[in-house]
Amino acid sequence: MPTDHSLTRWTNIFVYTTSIMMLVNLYNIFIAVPTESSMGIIQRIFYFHLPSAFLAFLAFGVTFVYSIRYLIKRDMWLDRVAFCSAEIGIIFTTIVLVTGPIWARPVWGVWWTWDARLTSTLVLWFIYVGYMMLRAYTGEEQRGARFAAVFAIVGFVDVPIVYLANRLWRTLHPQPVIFGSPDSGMSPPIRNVFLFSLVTFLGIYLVLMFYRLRLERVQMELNELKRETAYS
Amino acid sequence: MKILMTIFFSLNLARFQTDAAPASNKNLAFLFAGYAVVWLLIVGYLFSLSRRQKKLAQEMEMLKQMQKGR
Repeated sequence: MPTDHSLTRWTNIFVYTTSIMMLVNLYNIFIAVPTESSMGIIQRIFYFHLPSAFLAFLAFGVTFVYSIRYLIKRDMWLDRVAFCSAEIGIIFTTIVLVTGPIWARPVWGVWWTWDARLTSTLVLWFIYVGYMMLRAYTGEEQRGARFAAVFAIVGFVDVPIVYLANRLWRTLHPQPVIFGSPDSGMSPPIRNVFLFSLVTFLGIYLVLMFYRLRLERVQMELNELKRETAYS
Repeated sequence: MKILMTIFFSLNLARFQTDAAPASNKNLAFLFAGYAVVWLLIVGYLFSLSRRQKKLAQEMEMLKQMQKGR
């Protein structure tokens, strides 16, 4: 568990920088970037839909790595990091699942279709909601952490499935524009705005992680205090 | 929503007149709805974290007082 308050100043600087980047990102998306010719302005959802998906993968990746580390070292702090990252991953997956249909409705004419990419993303969301529920309903702390770690490691299998879904199967979802076929890709202005948005969302993830972990540290201190009070 | 759309239109009018099809403007409401969801979820989550932090701080204070009282 990290020790103490010397990080606060740097954290504040980071939070302010991320806030400014969020405003610049807003300007980029709504004002600066040219409108895409085939879909029109609705394509601008892309600039927060795709970064949210990437950040969800990252968050669940962190949960995966820290769950493995927890099973090896049995340090509760590692389990808490995995748990916090999964919670934030669910937020980003929810953003993906809500903005996707909002984008799909005017472009495809339907809110939702059960194609491989959309369905596997919904399954991903259910897996990690299940992970949170498992934590909530397993009484004993160590045992709950152990079960959840195994669940998170197995559940992470869905992340590459989501990523590869529109490569492996025919889907209504657009083909990949990053690491896709040779004729795929983005024009420079769209790519630059997308990359800026991706970095901004990474900043948001780190800020949310910081606040969530700080909360978790207080919770652990409180549990310790409760134990002391009970034994004294 | 209407205010935001008006601001967006006034800032971006020149661009819409030149490089975007007017038909695409009808999707502006969808775009705003999408962006509103992102902000609501992130701000809502931060708000819930701050509420949980306050609650824990109160509980901690109460326990410390209990320990002092013994």
